[in-house]
Amino acid sequence: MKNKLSAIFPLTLIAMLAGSVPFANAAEKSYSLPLSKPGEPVSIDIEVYRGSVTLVGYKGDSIEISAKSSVFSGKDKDLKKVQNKINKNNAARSTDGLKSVTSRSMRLEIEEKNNQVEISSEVSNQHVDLVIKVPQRSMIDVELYKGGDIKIDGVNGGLELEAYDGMIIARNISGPIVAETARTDIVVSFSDFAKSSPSSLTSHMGNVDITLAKKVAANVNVQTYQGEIFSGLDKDFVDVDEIKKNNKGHKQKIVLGGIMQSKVNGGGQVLSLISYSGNLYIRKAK
Amino acid sequence: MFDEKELMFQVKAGQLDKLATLFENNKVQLFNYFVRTGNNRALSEDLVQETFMRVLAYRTSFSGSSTFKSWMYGIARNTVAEHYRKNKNQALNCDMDDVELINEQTLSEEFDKKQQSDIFNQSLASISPEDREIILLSRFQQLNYQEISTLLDCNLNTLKSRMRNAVSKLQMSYQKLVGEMS
Amino acid sequence: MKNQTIIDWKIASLANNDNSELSEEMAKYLQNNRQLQEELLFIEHFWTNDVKPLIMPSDKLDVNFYQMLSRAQSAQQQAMQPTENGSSYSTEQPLSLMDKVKSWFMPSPIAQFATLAFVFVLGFNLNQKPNNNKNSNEYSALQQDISSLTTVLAMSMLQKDSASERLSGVAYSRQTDLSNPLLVEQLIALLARDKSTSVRLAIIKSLSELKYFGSSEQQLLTMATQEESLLVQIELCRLLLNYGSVDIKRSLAEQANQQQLKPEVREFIKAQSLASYI
Repeated sequence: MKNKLSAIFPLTLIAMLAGSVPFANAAEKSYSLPLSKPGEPVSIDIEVYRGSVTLVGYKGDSIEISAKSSVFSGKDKDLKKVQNKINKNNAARSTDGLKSVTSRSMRLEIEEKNNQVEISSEVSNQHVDLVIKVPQRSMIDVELYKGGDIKIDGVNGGLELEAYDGMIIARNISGPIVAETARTDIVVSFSDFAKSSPSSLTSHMGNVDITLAKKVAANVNVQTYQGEIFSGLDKDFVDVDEIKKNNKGHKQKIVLGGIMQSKVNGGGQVLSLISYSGNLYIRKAK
Repeated sequence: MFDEKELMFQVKAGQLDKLATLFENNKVQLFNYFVRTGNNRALSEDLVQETFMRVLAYRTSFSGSSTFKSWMYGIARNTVAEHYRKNKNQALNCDMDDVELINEQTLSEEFDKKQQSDIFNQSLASISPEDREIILLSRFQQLNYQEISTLLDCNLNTLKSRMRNAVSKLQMSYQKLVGEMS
Repeated sequence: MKNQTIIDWKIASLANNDNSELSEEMAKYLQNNRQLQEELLFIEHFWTNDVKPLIMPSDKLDVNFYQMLSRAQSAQQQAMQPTENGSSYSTEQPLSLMDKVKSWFMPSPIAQFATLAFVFVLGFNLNQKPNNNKNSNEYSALQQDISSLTTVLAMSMLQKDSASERLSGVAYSRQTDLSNPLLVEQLIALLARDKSTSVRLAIIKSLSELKYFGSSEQQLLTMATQEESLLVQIELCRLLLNYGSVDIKRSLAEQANQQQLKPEVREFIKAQSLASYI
């Protein structure tokens, strides 16, 4: 076994901009981030507190980031809680004769190490719109807490997406994809479907709407408690009853919120669509 | 449920496949132990591998007088010490920026919890390695005082005194960081 | 009474080294000592602060370990003396097969899938030949090996960074009969803390394969009542209603009546009670 103590230094950029345009509330900046190991697998982790994230796959080997930020002027309960907890022992300071200064600088942290890229914007009073071009093979993990949507186009690596406030819209992807929203819709169109591991699209209250290319083979499992299911597939959905003998040898059949399944093109890896009260739409691409 | 000590006795008796269970059960904690003590990810993985190689190689010396975890951490510490002895030119601890101690809470959890976690972790990273080790072994690796005192070869009272000292330094560092933030 | 006595007690009690209560003398001393109170509060916050999740090592760690183990096992077998009859030779074959398959635990998902495909094709073929010429002991030993390999694979996948790979781990766990208590423990621990709702829902479905929940039942009930996600709460309740003991079903019904569960979940439980029995 070799000891690996080669000096690997992360490439870290911390971007800060002062807004110089008097009327504009926004700062805008672009970065091109080369990869340490061109041609090798890429993983990109993005965490944005407030904003939107758009990722577009392309055939290049660098990460092209375009970031636009503006100040969020709304009230934020979370920020107050943090301040209360940390400063509880300090008396309130006087603001007589002072005016409130709103920071217009954008804070975005970008780090790359051995093709593992991390991009984060965690300032709560800043709305950041990120548009990023990434190698098509990239594996992506995005968490977006507040604000807009997560949009993905033309990426065929694994996707893990969580949007708490906005929608998740992915097109021209192959997965595997695990995506989750609370109240908003998940809209995905698959140009292909990865066999390596299962995919799952879950929303508590939002709709889940998928389109499958003609060549996609999958076991599509659907489950909704209060919503409806609309299918354009050739194969019907059938109940997947869970029948199990209990100790007394009786059987009990699940009636509500049960899973139904359709095998597309003979079946394949599992694709689960789950919503509590949203509708599920399964479409076939034309 | 399984007993790690029993499994290690089985490994000692020649059932080498049982080591897989011990590996699966301990690898993540052991890896995090190496990371938290200031080693980068790649080196930490190598150290986990080296530790388990030694567990296998020294299996006949496992007596059962201590728990498996305690014995394993003893080997782990020796592994790290030997590594740095062989590589004297390298810094004992990596640059603090390199230590991935940031918690990755989901965004759906409260933002303030994440901030507090980050400050705790930064405080931990800023105290001396010796102080940090005692806190890691107790708080994160969950060894009890008896196990730690055997591991560090010191008596119980000395251990308690070292623990108090370490916690006090941790608190000072925490307060300093909080002061800088406000 | 000194500060250090009380600090010692606090650290020891948090680290489970000491279950004793704060004595009257200590409590009185503490009451008059604001700085010591702040110190204790800090210690408590630090010890109980969430530091989940742990940083996960890469797949390379598993690969290297299993390769090392495989080599050690091969070396051990070579050192074994062959016996006169044929049984030693024939038992060696399943072991070599196991070593070979174990060494195929490569990092890439495709290779892992291929490994599992091999395991199941083998199992399928064995099932197709119930009257084959193999010794039945070897056959069941091989089946046990396959089952334990699947368990090891499931447990390995459950620890991955990627939610999709953890979903794979759950799918593999359903292929076993969940007889390995370590696997069950891992699934329940992951159910409590995984950040992905999809993974948690898949785990609940997997747990329905268990013949008997045992001591985990109460833990699942507690999880159900404290659960914040509506989908997870409903599925946990469904699991306990369908497969739990009589006592647990009663407890769940009580929780529903006392309005401790979300309204949608209470409706679900009422509707379940109208479900037909065969």
